[in-house]
Amino acid sequence: MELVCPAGSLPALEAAVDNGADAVYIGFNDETNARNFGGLNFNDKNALRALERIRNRGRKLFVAINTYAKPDSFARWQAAVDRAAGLNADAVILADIGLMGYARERHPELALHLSVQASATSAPALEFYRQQFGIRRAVLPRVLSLKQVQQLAAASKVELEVFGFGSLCIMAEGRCHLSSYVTGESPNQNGVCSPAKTVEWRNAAGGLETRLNGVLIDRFAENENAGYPTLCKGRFIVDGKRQHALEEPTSLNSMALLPELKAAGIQAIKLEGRQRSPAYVAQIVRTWREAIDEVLQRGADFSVKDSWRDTLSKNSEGKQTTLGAYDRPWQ
Amino acid sequence: MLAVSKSISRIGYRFGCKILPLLPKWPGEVAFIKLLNTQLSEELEDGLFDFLDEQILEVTVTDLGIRLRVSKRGDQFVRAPAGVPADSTISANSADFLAIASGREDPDTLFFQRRLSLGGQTEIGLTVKNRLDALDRSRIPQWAQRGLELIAAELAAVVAN
Amino acid sequence: MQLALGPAQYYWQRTDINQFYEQMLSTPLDIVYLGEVVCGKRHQLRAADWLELAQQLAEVSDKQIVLSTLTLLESNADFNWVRKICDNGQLLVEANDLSAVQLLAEAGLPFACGPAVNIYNQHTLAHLMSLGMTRWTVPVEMSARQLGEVLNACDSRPEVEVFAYGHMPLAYSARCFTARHLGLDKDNCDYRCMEYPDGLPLASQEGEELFVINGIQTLSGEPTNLLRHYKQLCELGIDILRLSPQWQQMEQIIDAFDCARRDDLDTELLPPGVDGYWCGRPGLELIARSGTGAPA
Repeated sequence: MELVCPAGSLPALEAAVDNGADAVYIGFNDETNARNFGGLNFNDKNALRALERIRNRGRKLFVAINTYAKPDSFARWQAAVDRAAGLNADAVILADIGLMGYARERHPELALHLSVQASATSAPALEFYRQQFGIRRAVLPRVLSLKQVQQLAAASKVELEVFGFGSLCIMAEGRCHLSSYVTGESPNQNGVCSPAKTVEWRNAAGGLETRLNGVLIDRFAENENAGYPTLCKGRFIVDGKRQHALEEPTSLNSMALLPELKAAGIQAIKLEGRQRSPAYVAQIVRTWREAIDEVLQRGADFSVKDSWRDTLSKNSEGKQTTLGAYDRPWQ
Repeated sequence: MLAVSKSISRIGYRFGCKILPLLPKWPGEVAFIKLLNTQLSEELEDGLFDFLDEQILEVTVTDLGIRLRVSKRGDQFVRAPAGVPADSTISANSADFLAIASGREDPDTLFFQRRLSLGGQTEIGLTVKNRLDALDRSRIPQWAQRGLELIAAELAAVVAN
Repeated sequence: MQLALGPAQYYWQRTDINQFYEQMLSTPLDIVYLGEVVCGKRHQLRAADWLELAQQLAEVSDKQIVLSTLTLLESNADFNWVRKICDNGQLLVEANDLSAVQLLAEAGLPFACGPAVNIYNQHTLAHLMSLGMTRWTVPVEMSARQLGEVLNACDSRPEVEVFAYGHMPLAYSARCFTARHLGLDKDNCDYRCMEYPDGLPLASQEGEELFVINGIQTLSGEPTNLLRHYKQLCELGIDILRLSPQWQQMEQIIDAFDCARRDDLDTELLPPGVDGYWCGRPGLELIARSGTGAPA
């Protein structure tokens, strides 16, 4: 079981490698990747350094080019694929059908992973991408229950990667326009959900207010933990009730399911968080390295240690975690 | 080393909490900005902090009452003019800032726990965070890094008490 | 310009569904899309019932009847539903995810792609056309400018359909938000979304209408309304305008668009709605407030 870890900067990549990542995924510093934030990600110089450090330590480097290419600047996305191929990256993570066609044709040796942003949730959808583009692996959307993941793993002809930990998208990835509806920018087209330039935090009479393009998303009382300013985790009025109508600030943590995921033949576990600091990467990678090693050793006897749970909770949105869609009652 | 860092942080912290809030201006501001200019000269030349051009970032260390106001002009960080409101603000207590600086804690984590707050233009604060995260820590001497870690750990305990 | 009735997003009673489509037969619509696109648990009409209804409508009407597939597939049961629709052997199918595309392409059948299939550029469009796609409903967040860029860059183009009126589907989740609101598990939801034939409005704490909850789906709080952009839609060479079913006033909406294509455009016939996406702005904005033209 491969541990696939996030890095938004060289120090984060080093933290991942030092703490036991088998593979690290990065993005270029533009809208070709789904964590397109100011000051984050890799220019060519740093991408080369990243590769060098990965190779020195015998790990793998994946490059996420996982947004949908715009019609007037398709060349930018093509160039990103060319850059990743030029780096000799171990795989590129793609979502756009047109871009996959380009990668397959221009760089036949380059391994393609299907991004979670492509939202492939069934065996025939995976088969589509395998037949058309020869994808080697697919990252599964965070909308499937454990049972559904198991069924899909049994039917799939490509390797499957699932999310282990991190900020939780509760909507099917690549099929959520909540951000662009309010801000004009979306994960699909701009590589960003709730872009920072539209976010405002303000102390007001009712508590800490967070607004997105002027729209009030939530008010936090003094002792309440906060989350990212995304629409799916705001508090709204439905039928006269003020509530977290979609989801609370929380992070996904599927560590408890590791034995089942392993038994189902899941080949890789992905950790989310390229936008986070090296301190986060170090803590969660170390924790997951230990857990995966334990599962490999003990199989079904595995149980989640309190110290692991504490570390993961501490680093979570709203300081709490959930099994998310893996667990039917959550749905 | 351990004992030294313990006393520095304990004594320094208590002293700082009493004295610093009484001063009209943090006396270290000039020196700190000078230090930033030396340490980040390469990044400044590469234009990695251009997003701060003519913008004012205000960093407040809540427990010590330190208020640092930085802007950037040309290839240099400069002190921001007094009386002009900041475009972006970041505040936390000294222990949490040190925890971030020493790589003990992730700023988003502290933010979720309401220990770090952002105001004004979020994008400036976020970009500063990301730029600082990306700095090559191997450029900081080992002893200084270690010292920072120890003080950060100690201060976390002091403030928690 | 052809007018299409998109697939119904909400969960209605069987008798109401039948009655609704019967009423639609006497409207000037050219195309009617039918089928469950939101939740595979909804069982007032199962796949076979939708097929039967579609065939009946096709027999008595000269409108084109198209079958739409589920958007978010999770279980094998969901997939079997999609397979039955794709295997109907008679009517055009609108694929709303890549599973349906795979089945239809394998069978060598022509197909349409719905707005939740991510086609954002000419290369993706060309690839899917090479597999048999003949009609494209544009993603709701795409602007007129981007659409023009795609179409200009295409060697051959499919029929192009734009979501022109109605609450826009914005997101799909594993979680049922209607059940969550009512304090129920999705597995024991009692199909209560049927109590909300126009969905469940969600407003900000300051009372701003943001979204509409509809089971696992989230829709825009305001309807999109591109009536004021009718001229531009024609100039871009759009073939079909999609009007999304709603419980009330559907005939007025159809009539308003029908007037436009008979050179009798009256933008006052419908509530203003929003047009931000079309204008390259946040979706919830209203840019062209009056008249018939929009800022470029």
